[in-house]
Amino acid sequence: MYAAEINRKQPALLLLLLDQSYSMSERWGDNGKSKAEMLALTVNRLLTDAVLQCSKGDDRIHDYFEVGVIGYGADVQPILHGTDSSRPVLPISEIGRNPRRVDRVKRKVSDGAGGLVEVDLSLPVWVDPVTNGPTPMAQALEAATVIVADWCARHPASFPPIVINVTDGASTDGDPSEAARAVRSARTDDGDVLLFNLHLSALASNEIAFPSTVEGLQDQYAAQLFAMSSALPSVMAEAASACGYAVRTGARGFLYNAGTSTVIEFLDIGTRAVTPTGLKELTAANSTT
Amino acid sequence: MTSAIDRLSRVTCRTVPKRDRRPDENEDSVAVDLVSGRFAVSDGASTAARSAVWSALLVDAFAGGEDPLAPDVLDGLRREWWSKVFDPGLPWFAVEKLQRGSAATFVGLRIGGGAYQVTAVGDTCLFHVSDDELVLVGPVDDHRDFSRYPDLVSTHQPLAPAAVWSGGGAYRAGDVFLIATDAVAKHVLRERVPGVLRVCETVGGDLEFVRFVASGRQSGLDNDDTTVCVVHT
Repeated sequence: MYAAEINRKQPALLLLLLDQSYSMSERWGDNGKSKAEMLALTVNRLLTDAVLQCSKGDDRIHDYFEVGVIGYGADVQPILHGTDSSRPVLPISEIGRNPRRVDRVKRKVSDGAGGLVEVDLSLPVWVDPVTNGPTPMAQALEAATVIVADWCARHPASFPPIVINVTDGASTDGDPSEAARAVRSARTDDGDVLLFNLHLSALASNEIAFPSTVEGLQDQYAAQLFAMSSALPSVMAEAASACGYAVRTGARGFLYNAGTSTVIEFLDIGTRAVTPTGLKELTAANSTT
Repeated sequence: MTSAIDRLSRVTCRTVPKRDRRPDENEDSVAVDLVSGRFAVSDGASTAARSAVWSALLVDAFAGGEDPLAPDVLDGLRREWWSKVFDPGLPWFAVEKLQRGSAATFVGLRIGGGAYQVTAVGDTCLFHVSDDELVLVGPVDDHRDFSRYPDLVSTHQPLAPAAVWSGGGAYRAGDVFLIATDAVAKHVLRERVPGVLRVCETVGGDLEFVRFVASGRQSGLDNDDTTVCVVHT
């Protein structure tokens, strides 16, 4: 299980659920940006890396995976530029060719021969920060269930979809546990859908990462998110260990009271499966296979 | 014309791309110059930018008489790579990818006058078999030591001296040299000499080698661009 090769005939799916409630306008971290702004930056960076992994440096992008982003706040809807409710996920080639805009900054980079050249650095933007309304998490998970169930039916041999829910607060539309169970119950031949939950905190104190038991969680809400989260497949657990996390057997894909760096690291670990050569591929290094 | 390897009886190179890929997507490169007795194989990193261009530059430089690992030559090759691949009209993702650079493994073998020298970076390997003995194998000499992150010759990162492996010695008529990219090298190292000889038996024709690779992939040969260069002395 969780071993399917990810290739162009057998792509993978990454689906992000982003809390866009009013509380996401709170400052997060020490750079003056809000949770929503930092999260949008992180998601745009993640999508940029994903596109680059599927590029060989020419005008082609190979479709190793598909991506969708559902925002939930005043509305529950696809927010990735180019998506809508009839087409909530896009192949990575369309995402790469169709950012909402590409911001540019000047940067000096190595010319490979000991010198520096000034180049235009592209900062593509697909997701802008939005903060408005409550936290309809159950509804977002229900929307995710429809998407992943349909996707699994069309890609039975693929690595199962990875769904990452990022929130800073409790659900305002009822207990999301049943909706989470429905997300996790969708499956491909390679395993159940993976649902990971990231809870952000402006304070980033008492941070809990990859717990394997509900014991020690501070409150009922943390226990609820823990129960909603899938266990990390072994290769992701190994990746988390390699990043310095104390990961025990049965560790869940769950962060509580997480600060910015932990969230960025978690997104890297949680999306390593969604790379052209599979789970063992690290995004930061070159592989010849 | 007198060749440095007049006494070589046969030189054969074969390459097969990853399963379901077109030949033009193969990022391995091989170059041979029989006159000077130079043979080179390079495996372009699949996650890097335009690595087929980079691997070709490395092997062509070696076959042309240069040492692509020498700092001045390497700097020139890096500039040549950039000039070949960069176009200001490329889309944002291509430009960004190119700015992250390319990388490849490399083996260069020089044979002549009864002696040979090899220089290598990464996990493309040289095997020298003489009298059914594996006289030299490297840079990797145990199938358990292959990883997904071999040392690489990069367009952007400095080449660490420790990453360069070299060897050499004498050879005799009837010896066999095999240069193989990592998938075959790893496979061969499970059997050592019989593995080398089995590869040598399959390079007679393109179709024969394609069948060997396809069959191997059913029994543990990694699905990777696969290239070999066999020199019979």
